[in-house]
Amino acid sequence: MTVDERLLESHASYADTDSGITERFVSLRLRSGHTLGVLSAPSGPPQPIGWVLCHSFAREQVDLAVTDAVIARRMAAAGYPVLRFHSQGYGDSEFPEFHASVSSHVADAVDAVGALRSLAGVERIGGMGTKFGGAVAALAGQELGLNDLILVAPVVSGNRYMNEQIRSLALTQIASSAQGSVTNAPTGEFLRQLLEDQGYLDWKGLKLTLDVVKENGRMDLLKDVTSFDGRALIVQVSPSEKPQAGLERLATRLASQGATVGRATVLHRQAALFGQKHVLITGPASNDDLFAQLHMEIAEAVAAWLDAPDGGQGFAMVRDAGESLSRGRTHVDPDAMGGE
Amino acid sequence: MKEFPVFVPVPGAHVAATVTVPDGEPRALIALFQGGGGAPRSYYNSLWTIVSRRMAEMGFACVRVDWRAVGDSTGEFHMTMDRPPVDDALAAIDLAMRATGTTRVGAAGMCVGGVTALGAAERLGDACESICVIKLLVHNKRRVTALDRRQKTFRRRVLRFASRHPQIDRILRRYYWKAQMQDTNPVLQQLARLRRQAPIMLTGFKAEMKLTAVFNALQRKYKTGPFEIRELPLEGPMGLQDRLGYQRAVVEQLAEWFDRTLPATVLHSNGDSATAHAPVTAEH
Repeated sequence: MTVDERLLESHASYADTDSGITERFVSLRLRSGHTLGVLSAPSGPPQPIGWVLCHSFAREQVDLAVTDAVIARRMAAAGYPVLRFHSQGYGDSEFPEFHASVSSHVADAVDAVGALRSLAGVERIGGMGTKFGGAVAALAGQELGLNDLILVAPVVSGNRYMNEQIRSLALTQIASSAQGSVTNAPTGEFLRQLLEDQGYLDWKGLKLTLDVVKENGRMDLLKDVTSFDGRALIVQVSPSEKPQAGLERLATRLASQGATVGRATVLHRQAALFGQKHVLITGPASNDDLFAQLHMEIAEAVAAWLDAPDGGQGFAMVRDAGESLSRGRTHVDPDAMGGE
Repeated sequence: MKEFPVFVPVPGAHVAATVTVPDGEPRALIALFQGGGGAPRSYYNSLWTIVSRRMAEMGFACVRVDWRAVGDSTGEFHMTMDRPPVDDALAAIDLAMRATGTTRVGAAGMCVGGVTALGAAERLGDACESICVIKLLVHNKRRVTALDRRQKTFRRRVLRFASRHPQIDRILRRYYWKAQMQDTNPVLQQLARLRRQAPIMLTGFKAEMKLTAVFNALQRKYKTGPFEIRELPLEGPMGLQDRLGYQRAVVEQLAEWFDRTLPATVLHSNGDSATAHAPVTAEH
């Protein structure tokens, strides 16, 4: 018997009548190769703007996937088609072992914009993303002259971001060492030196090359985005309402270029962990998603901005995601935060 | 090789899955299950994507699933060690079996995914002909966490004492395994049952291989065939471990295991060989 491709293809989409959306897997042909995307679309007539959702870098692509999906579905429910996809080097892309960098992310996002135009039949496209994905969306927007941006906790300085990534690896190992009564865990400086010496770092199973670290480190949104005069939403995810300096500077920079910048702050006591593994042990054999509520609050902030009058002129919002665990979203991870 | 992403309808949700099919007729279907820590169907660093494409080169179809509220799946993610998402896994396997026409299944899983693989294998019955569990989780209700290890000091003293007195050691061990089997280890009993149904490979890091004693006890108690036990390399000092090498080893071990235990042709009892893929039945 040959494979029943029609049966499989008939399952490539579903409709959610409760939220009024459909989601469909789409095969994308990017310049970098084939990859997979999901088009979230409203069941009813769509708004005239579609959005390309760019994912974050390395392991954050996995840990922010749920955030991205929740935002995409909420936006689709508000009437906007949203395309999220795997950049080359991630998930179900053609070359999963490709060493993705900021330039490959941006190139794939640029191609995805073209794909969404034909998939959703919309001319006006906006870029959006979370953390590193936010930076990618801004850079792709700069390249294509997009007029709409949604940046959730965007990375502003690539150098600082890459340093944080390397330091987080050291911190993880220090935590593991404490559990295993081993005290010789490497420091961030040691890992930096190792990266220089061997040309790559085994970053939790990802080959993080020196070239990629250097290239990403050169990214600086304050310098690289030079001509954006559309509308943008910058979402800060933090434990307090105190504005983050980097996002303040980004908002000021965009406004100085003529952009209409809306601001939203979503509060969560564990916001420092945003982008990292968000599964928390809550019992001998059960875990909870620490950020289940946070995802929804971010999505609601985005939806509110989309709905705001005058293109979000003067939009400002604070939402409190608290730190309560969603009892409905339980994960098992008896091996602590390092579980598989 | 082709890949088909699908949304599998399950009660209250749609779970996303990717079905990979080889060129030509598949010799069997391999189901890959990741753990419950929030990783999607491609798994960290696309490990499952790489495994399924490698398996497709060898003629296997593969299915890998996002658990509920993970990756592209919808719904609420209700999962505990006692109730791994076996129903969702079986729904994806069923769709993949119907589409690929395979009646033979191999199940592999890591951590909670391993427990799910065992649950799915048990429900599939004879259709599941090969099982691999990576990093087996043995659910022990009296599981000792890192924080309360100190409370075990007395037990450690007793064990040290017993190690110098073989007769006491023997009695204590007998009591320990009896308690383990009866009270705290449904997974071990499940393993023993499944071992009569299909070959099982258990693989993990060196530190986890202390479970070897458990498997030997299982074999003695239930008179099952031997488990194939492999060690995954995780070399290097803490923090500098070779996780790239570990991932490569997972790919190679799975490929070798399923190639050996799910051969392209099956030998019937009368000695005739036939192609493995029987036509799909209405029940499927």
